[in-house]
Amino acid sequence: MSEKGSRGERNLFEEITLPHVDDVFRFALGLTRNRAQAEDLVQDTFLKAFKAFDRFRAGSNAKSWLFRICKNHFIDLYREKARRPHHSSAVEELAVDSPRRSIEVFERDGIENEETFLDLFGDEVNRYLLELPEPFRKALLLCDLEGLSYGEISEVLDVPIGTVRSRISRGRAFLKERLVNYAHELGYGRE
Amino acid sequence: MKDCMRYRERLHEWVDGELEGSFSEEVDTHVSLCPKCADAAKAVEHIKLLVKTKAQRPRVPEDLEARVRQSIAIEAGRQRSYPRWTGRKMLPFAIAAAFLFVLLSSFNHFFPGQNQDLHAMVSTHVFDSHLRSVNGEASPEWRFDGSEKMAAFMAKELGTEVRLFDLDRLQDCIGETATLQGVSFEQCGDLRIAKVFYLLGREPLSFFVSPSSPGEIDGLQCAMEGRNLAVFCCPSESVCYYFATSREPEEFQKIFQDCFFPQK
Repeated sequence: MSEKGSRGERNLFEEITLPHVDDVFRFALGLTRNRAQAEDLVQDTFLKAFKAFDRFRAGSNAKSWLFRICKNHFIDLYREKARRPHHSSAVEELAVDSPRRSIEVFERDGIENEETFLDLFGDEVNRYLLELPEPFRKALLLCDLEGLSYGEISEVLDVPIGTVRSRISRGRAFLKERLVNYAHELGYGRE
Repeated sequence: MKDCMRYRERLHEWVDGELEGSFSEEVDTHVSLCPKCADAAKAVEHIKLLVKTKAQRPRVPEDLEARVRQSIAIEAGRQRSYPRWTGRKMLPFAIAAAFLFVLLSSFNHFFPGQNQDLHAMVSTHVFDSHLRSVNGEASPEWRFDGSEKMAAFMAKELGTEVRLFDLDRLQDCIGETATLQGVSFEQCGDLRIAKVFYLLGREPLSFFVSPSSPGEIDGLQCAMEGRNLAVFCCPSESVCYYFATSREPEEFQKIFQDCFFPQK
């Protein structure tokens, strides 16, 4: 790596990290729930990342590296208020009714094509995502929206990988149940 | 199929590409043979797709990336400027602009309090223009070897007296070499501002000289405070000197007084 603070090092840093500014902002907003604080947190995150760039492993996922820095800095900043990751078993409980009805809207036969399927659900996805308890929502969004691996999510959220696995599958089961009911109300699928 | 339960509970991992090689292949085979498990896998994929495409992405401030770039540019400049100043932290880039000034002990300060709008406009201009220097995106239009010739040229162009600093005296205080490069002139509204380029060590820096009308006398002023960069102005009888710095205001003022206005 080139000399500290040199143009070459800065270019390389920017090339690797700046494509993730929007992702880091979304992640920061999820932590702070305040746009102004999220903006400050993003700036601090990139500054810290730049200072620690010599510790970045080439070839590893820059996005999850930035998320980790962002989360750690958030905890430092708001230590008293910060909700450190829960490990209690209660939070892992998520009631999902096992769907007795076999509505196949989500499965092979229920979908004409992808476009129709996506058009079917608009704001409902977000409505149900918000109903999802936060630990589940975070794991699911990091996986499906941000494309992080279970291992990376485990590092970002400070929870064991088994917990990540369980939160993702339970989170999806919860969403599926809600969306199936919704689709059924619209007259899709069959019992 | 009797194995269905065994595979079914791993379908999320399978869809997410989290399964190891041989077991992943086992699931591949099973899903291709078992319609029920294929449906279950499809359902997982579709929920994943829905979240990916429909989850609300909050609007990101348009200038956020630019601001992040700016912070990094400032930090990069700071990293290059730190070494070699013994006993205390090295001055960051622009602050050292003041090295070049001859600000005489009889120096009279004034603050252009009569024209705050103009002052704010110049500060903003200085802030942006300085960043271009730090980023190496600007170079002097007129090059000079000596400060006297350059001061005379600036005075003529700005139509007012300009004095530059005693480099030797400053070097004793700071312990860093400053090399004068040259000057450019920039237009800020109706005002013609001189931008002085110099090197601190090898770091390209700049400071600014703006002709301004006399106002109240109030010493060194913090004219604009950004998140990572502040602009200070130091009015004299005939011009106002502007410096952009990443130091804390109190720290800058102290260094400025210690090194540029040593008490007799």
